[in-house]
Amino acid sequence: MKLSTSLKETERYFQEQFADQSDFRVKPLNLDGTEYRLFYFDTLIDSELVQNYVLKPLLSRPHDPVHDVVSILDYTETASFQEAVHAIMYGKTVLQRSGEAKLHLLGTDVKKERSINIPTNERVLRGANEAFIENLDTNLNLMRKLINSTDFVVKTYTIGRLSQTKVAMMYIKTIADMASVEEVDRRLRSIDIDYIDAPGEIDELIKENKYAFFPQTLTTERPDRARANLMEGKVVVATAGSPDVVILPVSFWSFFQSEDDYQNGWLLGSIFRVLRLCCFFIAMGLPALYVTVSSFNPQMLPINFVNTLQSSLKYVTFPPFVEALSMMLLLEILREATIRLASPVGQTIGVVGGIVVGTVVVQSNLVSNTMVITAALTGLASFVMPSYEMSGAARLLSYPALLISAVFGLFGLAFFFMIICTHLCSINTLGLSYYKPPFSLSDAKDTLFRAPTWSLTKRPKATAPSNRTRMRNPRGWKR
Amino acid sequence: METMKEDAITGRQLFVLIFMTQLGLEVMSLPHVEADIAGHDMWLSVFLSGLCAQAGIMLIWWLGSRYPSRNCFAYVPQIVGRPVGAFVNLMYGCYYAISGLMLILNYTDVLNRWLFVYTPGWIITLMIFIACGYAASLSLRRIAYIAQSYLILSVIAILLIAGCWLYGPDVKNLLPVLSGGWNPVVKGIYYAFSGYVGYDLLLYAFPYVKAKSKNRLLLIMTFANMTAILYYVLSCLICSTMFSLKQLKHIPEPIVFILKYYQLEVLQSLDVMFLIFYVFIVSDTAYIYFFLSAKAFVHLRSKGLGKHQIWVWAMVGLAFIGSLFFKKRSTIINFSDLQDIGSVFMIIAVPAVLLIISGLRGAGRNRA
Repeated sequence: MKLSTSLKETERYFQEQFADQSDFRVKPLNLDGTEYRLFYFDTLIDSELVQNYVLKPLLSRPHDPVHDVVSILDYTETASFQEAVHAIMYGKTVLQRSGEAKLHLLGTDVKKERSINIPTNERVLRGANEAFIENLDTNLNLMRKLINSTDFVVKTYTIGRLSQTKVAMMYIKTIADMASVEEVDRRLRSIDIDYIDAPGEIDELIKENKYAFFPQTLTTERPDRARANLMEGKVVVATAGSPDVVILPVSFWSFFQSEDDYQNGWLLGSIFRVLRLCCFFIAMGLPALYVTVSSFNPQMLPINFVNTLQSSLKYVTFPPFVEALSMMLLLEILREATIRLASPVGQTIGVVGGIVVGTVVVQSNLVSNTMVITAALTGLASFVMPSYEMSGAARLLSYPALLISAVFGLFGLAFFFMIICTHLCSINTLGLSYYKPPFSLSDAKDTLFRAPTWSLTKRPKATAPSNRTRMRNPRGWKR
Repeated sequence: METMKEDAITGRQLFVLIFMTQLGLEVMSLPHVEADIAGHDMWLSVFLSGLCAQAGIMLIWWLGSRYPSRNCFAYVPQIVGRPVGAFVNLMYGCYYAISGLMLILNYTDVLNRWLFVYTPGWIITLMIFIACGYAASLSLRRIAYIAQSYLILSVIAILLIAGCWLYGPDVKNLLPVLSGGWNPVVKGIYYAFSGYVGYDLLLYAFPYVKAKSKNRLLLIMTFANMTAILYYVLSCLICSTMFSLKQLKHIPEPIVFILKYYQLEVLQSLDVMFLIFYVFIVSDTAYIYFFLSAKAFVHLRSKGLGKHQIWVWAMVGLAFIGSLFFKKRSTIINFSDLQDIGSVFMIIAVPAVLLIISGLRGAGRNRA
């Protein structure tokens, strides 16, 4: 429909569009003989803004051109109804003066957001204490404040046929591999869905290997982590309404990097990095190893240790496999309960988890001492990983490992790790290999361990950055 | 073009692939086999055999550098004509599938004797076949990643073996050198050669290596071969200094026996660990065989015949069915001997003949 100069017709059009919306408002004004109409949702606009910066100026100068009178920064004109309807939905106020065939779109939306909090899911000892929030603009603001460069590019998309969610893709154009950027762009554009629930759905809709066990995108709530990844040539996708951003393409090793590694000195950082990798294997394989050693190959252990193990297993009725499975399930239940628990009853979980599981289960000979230690170690090891997704994958994989080693013993465990290794090698993310064994020193520098800052002169190859030089002579003061 | 990109490997990866393919069960069995033939001079046989393998590498490298843009299975029809070429590829396909099968059977046999006395062999075989089929259906680059990941295990293995040497080796066992003359040593070369089989991966991998020049490629191959020689010679030296000849003749896998004897404070039996994680090294060789086998079948027709993955699983399935027919240990040993002859034929004789024909044709073309 074409926009006409008649206010009546415009009003009729909007009334039709928003027929059943009880919060849609039309405000007719007659200022010194000039007719005006305001169209808006009173739940979306900031009435004070409209009052002070639209109505007041109009009252004083009703005959001057509108864009000269209203003092609103976000001001556009349009002749399209479609655009105006969208604008109203985003919280703008639409103004029309009689006799003019154009609509004035005034950005008067109310900004309701919580303040920036400290990160709750990814804690570090040293490092920034800011976390992303649900407001996309604030998140972009946080990122822009961290990278004050014209090379830092933000592209926005609207995804979700119904929800019309704003999604922003960020990258650094002089570092990122343009092929990856274009690929992410293409995949984001092709998403056709009613509403987008980030970050989980973004991850699932744009990753290659649908059935891969391991997370292929890194989710973070830390702007400094996002920046570190941008600086390696990765792409960050932020979504309105989600305090987490998605980073891709990431390699397997990214899931073991934490901001702390770069603050604590390289030696400590490297040790903790290696510790996390070991914990990955412990989380996956320890219960399985316990089962094989206690039920198939006790001859592997020294005789004294076997005696200790046997004495703790003596009065336990169940076979080690059932023991291990029940303890692991218990651990999972405790974890899930802790997340879902309403905070006033949070104390209960400590009592239930600590006393009931730790002490009573052993005293009543349902589960052996050694198994409780194994389960506790497995649980702790899985939470050492800085990425919740990776820790979940490790814990999930510990079940097939347990099952196969309960049936085939140590050989089954070896078979399991063989399949996992092959699976890791087969995964692709955005045309790049997900897992590359760090074979040369330059590959191992920021994967297996954290090399000293002054030696990280090149950006890691894993994301194929177009510009690999990171620093030239970082210790230039020393001649 | 897609396979070109997916199969592209670096020089380092080639090194690891060749070394890991050469490394096989022979680390355990060679000292026993050679004890009957070369006696205490087995290390010399093994070393000389490595040099023969080096000659074989030169041969394949020479052949490959005549056709630097294509793999062996693609250029064979060009050398000997389409029908004969297809036949050669068919032979390679069968040979590699049988090699993979024999390797897995031999390993299962070792496991059945030392560790899993009551476990039915076919279960172990099936599991290795599944792992191999999964890995072999990937591209060469991905397989190289797997080999790189497993490389650490071969390092641990040699450290374990070398660690045992600390406990009283008797160097006198090695003397006198060449007590029986050169004859047994030369005879031993043939038996040791099976340990070096695997360098023939170069037949396929040649065009996909991103090396600076073809001379550098040869250098990488030589390094890999040298590392394998070192590995085998070390394990032979250790066995022949730790055991007398008489003992070696009775123990089929002396290294496992040595490991069984020593223990750590926290680990009673090193031999169980060693045997179990040797599956990574064995399967690494086996899936490269199945990979090559499938590639040979795909190249039966110049346009390509079927999909790589399907061929891999077909060959793995056939090999598994074949494995069910090997019940007695003597059958496996006899068949392995046949396969050793086959491997000398397939990786030395056939490339040599191909090189000669290609040279003659090239010379003829130049004259015309």
